[in-house]
Amino acid sequence: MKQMVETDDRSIAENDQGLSIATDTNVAEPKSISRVILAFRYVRRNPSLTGGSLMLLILLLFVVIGGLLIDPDNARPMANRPRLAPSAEHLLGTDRQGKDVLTVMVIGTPQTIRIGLIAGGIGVAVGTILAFFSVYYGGIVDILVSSVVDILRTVPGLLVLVIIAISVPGDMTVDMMALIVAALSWLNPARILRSQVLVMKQKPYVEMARFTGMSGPEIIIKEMIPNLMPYLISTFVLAVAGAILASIGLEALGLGAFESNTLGMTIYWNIHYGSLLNGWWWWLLPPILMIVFLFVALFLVSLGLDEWANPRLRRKL
Amino acid sequence: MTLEYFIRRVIQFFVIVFLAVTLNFFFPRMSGQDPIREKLLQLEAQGVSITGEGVEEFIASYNTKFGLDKPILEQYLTYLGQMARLDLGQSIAYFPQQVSSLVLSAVPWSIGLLLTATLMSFTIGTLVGALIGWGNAPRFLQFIFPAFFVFSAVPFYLMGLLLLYVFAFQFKLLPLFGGYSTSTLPSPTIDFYMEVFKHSILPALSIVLAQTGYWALGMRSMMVTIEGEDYILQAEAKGLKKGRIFFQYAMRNAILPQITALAMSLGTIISGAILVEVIFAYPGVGSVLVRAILGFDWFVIQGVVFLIILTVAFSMLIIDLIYPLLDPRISYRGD
Amino acid sequence: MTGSVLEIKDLHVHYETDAGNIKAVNGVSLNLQRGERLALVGESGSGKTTTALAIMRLLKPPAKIVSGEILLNGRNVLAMNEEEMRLMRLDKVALVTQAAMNSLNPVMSIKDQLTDGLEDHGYYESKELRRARVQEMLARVGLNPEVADMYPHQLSGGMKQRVAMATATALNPDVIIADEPTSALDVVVQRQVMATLGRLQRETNASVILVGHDMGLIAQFADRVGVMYAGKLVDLQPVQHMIENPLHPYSRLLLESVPTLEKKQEKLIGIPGITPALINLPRGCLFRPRCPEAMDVCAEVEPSLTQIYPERWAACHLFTDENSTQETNA
Repeated sequence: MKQMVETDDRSIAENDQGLSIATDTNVAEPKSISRVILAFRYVRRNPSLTGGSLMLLILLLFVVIGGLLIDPDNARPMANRPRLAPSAEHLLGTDRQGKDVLTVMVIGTPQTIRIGLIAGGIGVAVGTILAFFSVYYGGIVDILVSSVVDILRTVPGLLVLVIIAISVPGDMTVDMMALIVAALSWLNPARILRSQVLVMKQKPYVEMARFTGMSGPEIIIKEMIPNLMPYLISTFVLAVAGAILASIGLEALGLGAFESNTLGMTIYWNIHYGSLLNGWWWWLLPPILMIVFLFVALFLVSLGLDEWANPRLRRKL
Repeated sequence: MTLEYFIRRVIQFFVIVFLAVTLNFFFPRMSGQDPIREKLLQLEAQGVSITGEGVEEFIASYNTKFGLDKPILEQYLTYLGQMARLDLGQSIAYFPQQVSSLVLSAVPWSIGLLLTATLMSFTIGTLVGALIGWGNAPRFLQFIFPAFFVFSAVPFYLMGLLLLYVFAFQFKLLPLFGGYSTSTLPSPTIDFYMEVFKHSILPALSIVLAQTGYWALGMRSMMVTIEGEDYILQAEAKGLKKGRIFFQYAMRNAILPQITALAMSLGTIISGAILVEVIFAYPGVGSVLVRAILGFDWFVIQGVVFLIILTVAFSMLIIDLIYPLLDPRISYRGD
Repeated sequence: MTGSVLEIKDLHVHYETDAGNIKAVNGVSLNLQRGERLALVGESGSGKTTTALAIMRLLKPPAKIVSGEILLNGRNVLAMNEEEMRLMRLDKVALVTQAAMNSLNPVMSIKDQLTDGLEDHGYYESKELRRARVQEMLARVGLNPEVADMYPHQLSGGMKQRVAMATATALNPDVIIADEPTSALDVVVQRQVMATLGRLQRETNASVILVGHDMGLIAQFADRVGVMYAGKLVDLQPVQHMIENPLHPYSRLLLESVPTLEKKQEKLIGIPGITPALINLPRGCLFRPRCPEAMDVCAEVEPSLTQIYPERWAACHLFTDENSTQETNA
């Protein structure tokens, strides 16, 4: 905005600075602070992210250290005497089938997480592709994709997965479960990422990239995806949580991988053998608590990531 | 309400139902499995002897009975017709009982549980969330809120398991399972209803505890957003009473997206409720489903899935049709 | 001075943020007479809207009224409790907001929104009486009776503003605060809205505080004009004087920046520089950096609003070198 006022030279000179002319207005300038301190400050400001990450770390330690300490054979049926209460030898006792519960937990937790990671990963990948596809072509394509996604999201997903699961020939495996759950895991990511991509499309730096002659895919990879990162990660975390949820649901209904020791299968066996009726609390509690722990952790992390991506959410609870 | 809005919603309903039917039809058949054969093989494996003539002829005759030997397209059309008439076939396990009657006997239980639990969570959650979002919540609510917030991360059935453990097992306060105790015969007496009630407390509670936080959260953020709206400022400038501003200006606007959210999450809620029923061995649709899965009773499985999807789609339609009554902008805009 | 309907005495409003206290209003004082139309003019951020909202105590955190007095009909508004203030609103002082704002409740009918304020001030009427009153209110601002049953999204901007004015004048308040009531409206509608406002003012003999920056509209409407800069009132004169002979350099520059139809103008004239950040205010006059007439004393001493000529006030050292007159407010 050019200002053409005939004033004396002093005013013009001050104008060229383009800054607030009253130079004695000093707003405190950030001194160079070490990265570590900045990180700590952020940690304090975003308790969800730190809390959640910490919990996941604990889980990781449990699995890794546990993995080193246990003997996988203890998780075979009839490896031990069944229905033993916790003792020094079996810290969490044994279940109805004679499996050492602690071993089952150490082996089963990563199995469940694996389902989540695979299905969540596929879900985010497919969702991202769909999001870009839909926004790039716009118009009728966008409407079609959005409608399909919205309609499918309203259907009770678990039931759809049931139909798919019973259609699978042969015995179920952990990886098979992951693929089945993946059939629906792309729905939420597609919706969330589509709205983010839409917002990004209007942003100036995208326009600039176009002007400088970058091709479509180049823009997507070099400009958009880096900026989409926080949302991608957050969506991934949510997708993992959702996939685990779905897999446990399927397993609890009796459609799981019977040979595996996933958390959901343990729940299934608990129900099947009526552990509560029989008072085998040491078999029922660990998977429940583990699942709750896992979910709360994932939930907190996704909350923290949301705050990171959208600072405006940083408000009191 | 404009015709266009109405038609769009109805079409959406039929699309969902159609997708459900098609899913139900094609997926199982895609795997090349033969439900009858599966069932019979399973029975055989369990030591039940099949009639002498030879399993294959037996299977063949049943296939004819169930129409499984005709070409796919013909089967599909027949299937569509059956679905339209709500003829869900017959159970394999409890042959010749109709799937529909099997399911229908369980439906009242499910509806009772689900309806009450969801209504309670929605109402309580919305009110609490509104109060917290508006900044007027009494102290204790502000304390419980974070707890509910965290609970909403935990799936219903897990909540149910935890509650079961605490109240039914540890403290032996409430019954462990079922819709009524095993020694009671259903009868329309007060005692029986008391039984039913006692047995439904824990299942309902798990749904309520896990869901309320979700509704509260949504309402809270809506209210916070609305608090910054111009018409709230104007309402204050008019010297309106606080209560009127809260209810007629803030809540009445905030509730609209809440209701939309309710319609959208019906599917998830029902999925969760089914698992709760399984946990508590509650005699609802969930238990029917689980028994059918255990027994490879394919037609029952398909029937249950179809009916549930149908119900969800229908409920969504109802909510969608009610919505314009609450939001005057919709009727005229014709969405 | 007695007889003023509204007296603002040395009002200070701060926005308390993490970055510091933003001093949005720095010692504003003015008196409003009965039936007077006062315009408050200034750039965005000059504090005019904040002042207006402060009168009705509609400011929300982080805004805070730090000191000062606001006397409405002799009663100190800032000392009242919530309920007393609530009753004062609409009854004694009413607000008409910017036309661009979404100030009507989308889910309530117009007739309900016209009357709910009345109800909460104790006017309960039967259905027939209420219907008649709604018709009367609509007619007063020149709206058709059908509008009563309509919803806000069905009305145009001008119509909504008229509804706002009908609501604001329902209880014949002593003061009407109109905060840029014609922004975002097209020119023809602007005139209609201002004409309606003017007529309502005459009919009720209410005082009007018109906040805005459209000098043209203000020239036609206001009796007196107050110019605000960086949270202070720097010029306060009857409108005719303000147009013909503004005192403060800033007012002069503001007026010069309005393009005229009369002579051919090749370049748009603006005012160089930007308003100061209101956190750490420098010494001396806040306008000095942009002022073409700045003198040495301007860097040292902040000029206060003084009466230069009868009924003509300015906060500028150009007029108060040696002869300082009384430092009260108009």
